[in-house]
Amino acid sequence: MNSKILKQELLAPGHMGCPGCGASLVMRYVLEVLGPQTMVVMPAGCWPTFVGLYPSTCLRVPVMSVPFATTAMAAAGVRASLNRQGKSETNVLAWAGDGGTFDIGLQALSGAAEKNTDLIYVCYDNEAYMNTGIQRSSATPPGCWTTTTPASAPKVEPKKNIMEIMAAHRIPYAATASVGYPRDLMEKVEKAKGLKGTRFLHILASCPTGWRHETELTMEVARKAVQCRAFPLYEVWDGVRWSLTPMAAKTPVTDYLNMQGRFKGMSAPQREVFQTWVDEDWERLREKCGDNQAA
Amino acid sequence: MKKVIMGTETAALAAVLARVQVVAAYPITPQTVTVEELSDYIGKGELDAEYITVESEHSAMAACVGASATGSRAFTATSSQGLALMHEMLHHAAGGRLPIVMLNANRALSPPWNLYCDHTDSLSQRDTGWIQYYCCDVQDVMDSTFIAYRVAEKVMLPVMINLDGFYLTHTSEIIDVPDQEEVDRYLPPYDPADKVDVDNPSTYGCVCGADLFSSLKYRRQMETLAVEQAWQEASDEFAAQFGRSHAPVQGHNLDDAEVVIVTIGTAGGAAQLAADALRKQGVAAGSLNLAMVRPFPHQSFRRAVSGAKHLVVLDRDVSYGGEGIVAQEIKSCLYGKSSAQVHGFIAGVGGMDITEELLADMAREALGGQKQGLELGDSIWIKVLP
Amino acid sequence: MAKKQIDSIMQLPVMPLTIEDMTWNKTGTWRLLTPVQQDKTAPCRAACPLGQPVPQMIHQLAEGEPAAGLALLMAYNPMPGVTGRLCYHPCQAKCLRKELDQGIAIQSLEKSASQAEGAPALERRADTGKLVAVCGSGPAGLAAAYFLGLAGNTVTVLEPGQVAGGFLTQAKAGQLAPEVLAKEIERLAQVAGVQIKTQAAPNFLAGMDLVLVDESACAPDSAEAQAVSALAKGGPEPLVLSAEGGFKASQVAHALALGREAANQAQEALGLPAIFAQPELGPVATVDDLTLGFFAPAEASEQAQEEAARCLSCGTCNLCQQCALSCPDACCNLNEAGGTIEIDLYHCKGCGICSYECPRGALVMENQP
Repeated sequence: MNSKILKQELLAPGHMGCPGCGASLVMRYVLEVLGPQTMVVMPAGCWPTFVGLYPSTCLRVPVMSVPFATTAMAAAGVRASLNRQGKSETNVLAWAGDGGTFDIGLQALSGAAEKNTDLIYVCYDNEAYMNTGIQRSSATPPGCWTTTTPASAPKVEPKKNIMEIMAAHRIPYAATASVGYPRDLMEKVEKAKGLKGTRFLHILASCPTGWRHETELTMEVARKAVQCRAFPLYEVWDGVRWSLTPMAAKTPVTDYLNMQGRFKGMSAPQREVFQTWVDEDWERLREKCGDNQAA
Repeated sequence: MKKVIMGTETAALAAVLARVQVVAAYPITPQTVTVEELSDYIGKGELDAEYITVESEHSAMAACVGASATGSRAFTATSSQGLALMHEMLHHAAGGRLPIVMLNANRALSPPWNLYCDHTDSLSQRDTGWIQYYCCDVQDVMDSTFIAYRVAEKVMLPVMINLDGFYLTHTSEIIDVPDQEEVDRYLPPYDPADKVDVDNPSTYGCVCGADLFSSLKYRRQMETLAVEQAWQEASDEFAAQFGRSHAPVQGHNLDDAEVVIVTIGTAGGAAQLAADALRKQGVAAGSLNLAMVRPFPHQSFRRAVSGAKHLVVLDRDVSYGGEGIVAQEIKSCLYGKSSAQVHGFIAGVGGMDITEELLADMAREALGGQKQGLELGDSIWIKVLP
Repeated sequence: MAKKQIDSIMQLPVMPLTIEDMTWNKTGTWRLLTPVQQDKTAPCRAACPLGQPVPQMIHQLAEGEPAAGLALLMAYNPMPGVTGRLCYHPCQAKCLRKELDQGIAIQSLEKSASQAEGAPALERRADTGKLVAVCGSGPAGLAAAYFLGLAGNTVTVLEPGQVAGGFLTQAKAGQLAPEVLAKEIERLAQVAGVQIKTQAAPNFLAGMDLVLVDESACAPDSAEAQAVSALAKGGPEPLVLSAEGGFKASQVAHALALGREAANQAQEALGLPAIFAQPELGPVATVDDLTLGFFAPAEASEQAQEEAARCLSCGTCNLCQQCALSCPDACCNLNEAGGTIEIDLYHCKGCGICSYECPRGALVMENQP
């Protein structure tokens, strides 16, 4: 117990992230594992907005802030450049939110993944375009309030299944993780780090500002999401072998929904739709995983 | 070594001799031969580089940005629709001070769909801050690539080398291909003082307040304006080594010219012949190949046309609601500095041929002769239906 | 932390690259509440008649450091090997681990700590030059002598009988072996620098500054009471330790507590500062202060280190660093040199995650600057 639990000090205080920012925690965990030999490529979203105020930055690894749609391909350019310089061991970390991954950045991500570009892609998912003021993305769950899916025009579509899309690209490793379970998150980053090719991590990053919960509950709400299976934990190897991460017993979605203001206006039928979506996706996932539990 | 070689093939060979390190490009007519040949050069090991087969032009420029910012010499090529798709990235690359060199095959923008020569694509990107050079022949394509990298890496700004679609991309000429050693002497390896690097971590392109932002833009404009001189010097050094120069402004018989035909791109050849033909008829004519459009070479241009009374300006483009872009740029350059009359002609858009005869007729019209086309606003449109 | 002064744009790199970090940005001004590391009283400690630092001791055992655990106990209790065998362990009744699975076998762990090799080097105050005699070597008397010895006094325990230990020598078969008792007494004497004289006769009291008489376990007017008070004849007016109804063997901790309190009274009588004080701790921790979900269920174990690892350390920081792990702004860190949790108040935004994530309720959000 004599040494620091997080040994790397690659994120320095003073950044302008909201108090309780889940995405900031995710960055700390990922960099803890990847270390200083890492180049970060991040598009528009929450992170580049608070990483620094020119000419100051809060990160102690090199970072490129690139246009919104380009993350994976700008990262591919970085990777090509590093390989040319004989630095194929330097980690290239593509770092985008759900907007920059599921929506505007999807084409570039597909382009990079199809070529099995050697990079680690982290999607820090706060389930909406938070930075611009909480507008819906295709990662927003059904029935959830956002500024473009208000009560008068609710979101009816389920959350886009980005993991199935990445599996279809047959990349060596894809996994989901939650900011509420840092040890599992860091283990998965460690597994990704040991591989080559396109590695994809879909990480739930709770957002007190957009999800409307107390700032102190950032990790707790991200645990509840896993427990009720709104965000289950699993891995996909080579796009074909699916395996579940051991999780606590499945609970109804009620506690999870009740913790957050963004679900407060949901009617009873909408809650049922939400529960059904969670249940059906969970059953499909279990079928894909079969007897596979994480090694 | 002499070689018969096509415009697009030359661009690929120039990239090989320039020892580019990362190529990220998407095919589009009429540039395809360049990207095809480069993948073969790299596949055969004749060029030691990484090739990224991107899924769009926007991603092509994104990959070049990633490569260039981390210290590699990057190259790409595109045309019209692809260039337009890259628009956001063009602003980014120039603002990021990244010395990327890109071939652009000038082609019309749709709709309707036209694959042929037109300059609206690159000229409408002139505000992005890229250095823009327009080649007039195949030798120019080869040589300007080396000058482009040398200037780009000195001033830390990207360069767009423009080739007229089909006229230059698909024309073969006999050119002088320099040896690798000769090119290496002119163009040293890319070794930037600034780069995104784990050994000296920093954040590139984060949020910036108004105070420093405007100062950064001031510096960028200052250093962009200085490119006229930097390119001239690089061209002079190239001439000293190879015997050929590619200055921002290339004049023909300008000393006593009263009427000057101004063109960009391959029309420069026809303009020289037109000027010579006019001379035979007793008109004091000259021609000016405006090779550099950005930065606009104010000093060189004003000097070149200081004696002229009439400038016959060919625009193979138009800025809708304004006029021909080259004419507009020239008027802006000469405002308060010259009494020359600028006659703007819109012709050759969408692949319509520009001939020596047409240019001579345009010059005659400017001097009071027969009207060649339809007047609209400040321009005269050639060969259009009323 | 200061922001660099930029007078010319040419000072900055050509590419839009940063040149310094954000630590100059005082995000500490954002917060409304401030995290404060403040231990609450563990319920086991609150129940302990001696108020021993139970979670801290168990933590040392979990770390494989029984000697360190013993040292912690002996600052409160001269004979943990005795209480670790005889005490009625009210601590175990209050153990909150029961809310998860089985309570911790705290007494057994106390016994384990007492079995550590050697004697801890507790701090003894400088020699006061005072001579103190304690008549009677039951647990109360021994405790008084122990603490007076730690206070720097020259202490002699006078036992009329052949063996020291008072009512502890009468322990039921199998509960407290005589050799264990002897070793405990030997150790407390070594740690506190106390002399123990058995078969003591009166007239040892010449020159004593203070005399204590321990009649607490003796029935009034009994032979033992008289033997002990006889030892004090001829000396100054003694300080008498008494307890109505005496002590059962299982109440040994109360006897020790009585003796410890008597040592403080004795110090006062000697014109010296008190030798023992309970530290100021927060209110008693309850199950609501814990995050039970943080702890994995585990079977009770006979093996001390394994059993110790099951302790929830209720209300007591054990440097698990869940707080440090949960800070989005890297403002909560282990001070490795000092062995404490430090909050960077210049930058802390007061989000409260650290406090919420503390599994044992030892970090609270306070309304302070």
